[in-house]
Amino acid sequence: MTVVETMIRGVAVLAPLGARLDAAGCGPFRRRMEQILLRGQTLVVCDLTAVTFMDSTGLAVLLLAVRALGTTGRLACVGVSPQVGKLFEITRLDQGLVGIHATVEEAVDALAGGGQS
Amino acid sequence: MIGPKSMRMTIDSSLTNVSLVGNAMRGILENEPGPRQDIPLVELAVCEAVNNAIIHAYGRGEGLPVEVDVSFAEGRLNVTVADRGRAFEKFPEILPRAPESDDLSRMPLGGWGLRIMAEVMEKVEYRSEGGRNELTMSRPWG
Repeated sequence: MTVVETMIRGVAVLAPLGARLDAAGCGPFRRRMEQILLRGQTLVVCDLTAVTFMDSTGLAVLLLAVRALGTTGRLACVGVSPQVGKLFEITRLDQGLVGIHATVEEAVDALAGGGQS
Repeated sequence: MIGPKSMRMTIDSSLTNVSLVGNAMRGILENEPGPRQDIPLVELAVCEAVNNAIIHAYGRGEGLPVEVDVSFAEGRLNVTVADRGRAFEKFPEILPRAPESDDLSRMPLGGWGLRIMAEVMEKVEYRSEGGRNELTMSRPWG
């Protein structure tokens, strides 16, 4: 799976381009996430526009990022499909741990501007 | 006596085959009366069970069978995922659920497969007999 990384105003935007972020195909996304966390990136947006299905393996990558970012960094998601939204709902990831935004611009504004999403 | 409406699918134990089961599940549920908004969640729960069979029971070994039985009876959906690999040493009697709070320290990194099954399905049971491991999930449907 190709994962595109773009830097916008100090925010790393990661866009996995596969439709399934699951046990079969999540590896490249996890490795890219680990790389950007290792280099000290604190503001991260996951652009999930291409993703129609996420399982617990994809979820674990987001939780890994939330944990690594701690209180100093922030993670936001964009392009959350109905299935991914339901996964966030039942795992309560949508209750403040991860900002959820409609567009990359909105997410970058929320993170780079230091606002609470 | 007419038996329940049922089918069995068998995949080779490769993670790239799990989407076949997920897509089939979605197709089946879209054509059976039931809560349509829950279809993506049931698809997810079944994929989690198949992933577990491949990753944990078969240690990611390919070329081994994973069977998925789907049936509808008395207003319920029943799904059994079966493998012939290594059994759970101790399947939790009460499955873990997702933490209630948004407290980061209570968000575990692993074990989400079982948590997801517990959130989506009403009953999740596991048994291992004669080298065959069966995880059975059910919930009202219809």
